[in-house]
Amino acid sequence: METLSQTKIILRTMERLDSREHLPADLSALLGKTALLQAKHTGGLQLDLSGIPLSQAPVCSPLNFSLDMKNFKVLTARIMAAILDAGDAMPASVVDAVGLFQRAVEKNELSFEQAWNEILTRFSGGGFSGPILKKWEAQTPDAPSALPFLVMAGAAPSLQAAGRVLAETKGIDPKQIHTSGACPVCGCPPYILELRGKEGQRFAHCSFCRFTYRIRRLSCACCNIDKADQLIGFTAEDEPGFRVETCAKCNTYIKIIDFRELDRKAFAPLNDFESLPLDMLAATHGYKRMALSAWCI
Amino acid sequence: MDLTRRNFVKAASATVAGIAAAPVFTGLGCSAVSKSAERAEQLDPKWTKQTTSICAFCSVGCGLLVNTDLGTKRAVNIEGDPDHPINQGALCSKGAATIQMTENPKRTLTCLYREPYGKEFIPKDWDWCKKRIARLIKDSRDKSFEAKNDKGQEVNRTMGIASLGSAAIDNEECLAMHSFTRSLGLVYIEHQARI
Repeated sequence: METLSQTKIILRTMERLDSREHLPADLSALLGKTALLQAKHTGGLQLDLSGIPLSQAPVCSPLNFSLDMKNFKVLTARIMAAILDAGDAMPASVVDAVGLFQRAVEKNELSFEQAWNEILTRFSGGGFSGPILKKWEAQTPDAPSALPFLVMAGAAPSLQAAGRVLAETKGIDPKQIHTSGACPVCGCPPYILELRGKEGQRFAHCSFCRFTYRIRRLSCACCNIDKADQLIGFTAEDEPGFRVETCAKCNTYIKIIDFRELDRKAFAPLNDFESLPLDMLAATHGYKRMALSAWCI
Repeated sequence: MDLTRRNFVKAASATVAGIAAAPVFTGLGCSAVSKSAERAEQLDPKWTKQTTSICAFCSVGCGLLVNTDLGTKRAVNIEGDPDHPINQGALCSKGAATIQMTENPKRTLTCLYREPYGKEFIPKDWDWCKKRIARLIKDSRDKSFEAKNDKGQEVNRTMGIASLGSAAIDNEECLAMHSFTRSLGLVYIEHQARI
């Protein structure tokens, strides 16, 4: 049931993306299609999480997250096939890059698992790009993030499931207020926040394991300060349902989904893309985003 | 590797540093998002800040989140604070209307006076009203003042006036009001915080 309603929410969000003419239609199609494929591949995951060293908040380093490799491979292949099949509807630079990856995989010149390990290093505080990512970034100059995007898209369902299991193992209640803005499971910063319920409880979406956990309303999700005059934010009339909050101390911003007065449900990975102009506006005011999107782009 | 706080801070800053190199959603072809950039230029951001406050209507003390416009310095929205332990984001109908204490075009801006047996309210200024109130208090007090009770004990009180306060009055204002009404000899003094 959960996946069915999830699919419906994704489809409605995609309709919304299509109606926003300023958003690149090919990128909307790519992200929407990928989200649908991910939703289809959330069931029956085989995760081996035994023997992982666990600590208390954050529970586990991103390096120790393991994937359901079968699911990862199948999903990555499906996403690649979907991109190549749709052709004209997808961004041309991504279609070219995926064609390149496919040929390289056939010739054993590229391994998605190794690329994935480099992404893990990025999330656990190592270098932003390892040798494999750097090499393929240079090979696909029009779409430098194509490889991280593909690998992260394939890993997302496993990560999400692993995050939930680890939280349950350590008794982390996502509905309790967490004083730190970082993910209590993997310690990565959130990519977007969301206000839920009539009361407006603030939830954060982890940029790595997609775990959703409650944080304070008045605090910076990056440096955790709670001084009201340092945390100003803005809304724009033409972007209903979104608010941007900034922090004067660490100079970051984060978007907040607030659909409490709108007749729609949130699907954070796509809502993040929907509110793209707000990112650009925040950037012109000199603020930095605290994490990449859920798509590693 | 156990993720310590120090490691996490490193991780977070590494991610932030990565963003600086590539703006979000542009990693799959930068030219595609130029329309969104145009759109961003047309947006008119309304900058606000959020502060916490306490509802002034009763003694429960529900937490509020006040959204204040940084340009006009006026409140634009007031809602219940979901993180407040007392109300957890919920507000009663009075509390939910708190913003109308300051932002309501229908608020009365002058004193209104209706004469005995009169049918209409007449706007009056504060000076006039204060004099009128003082006159009535003095008259009532003089008429009803009791220096001694039935047993002959000294009481110096008036039973002809009562004071009904307001839950929106703070401690210091209550002290001033209490001292004043006691000095007149009032016995019926009510703060009304529980109403």
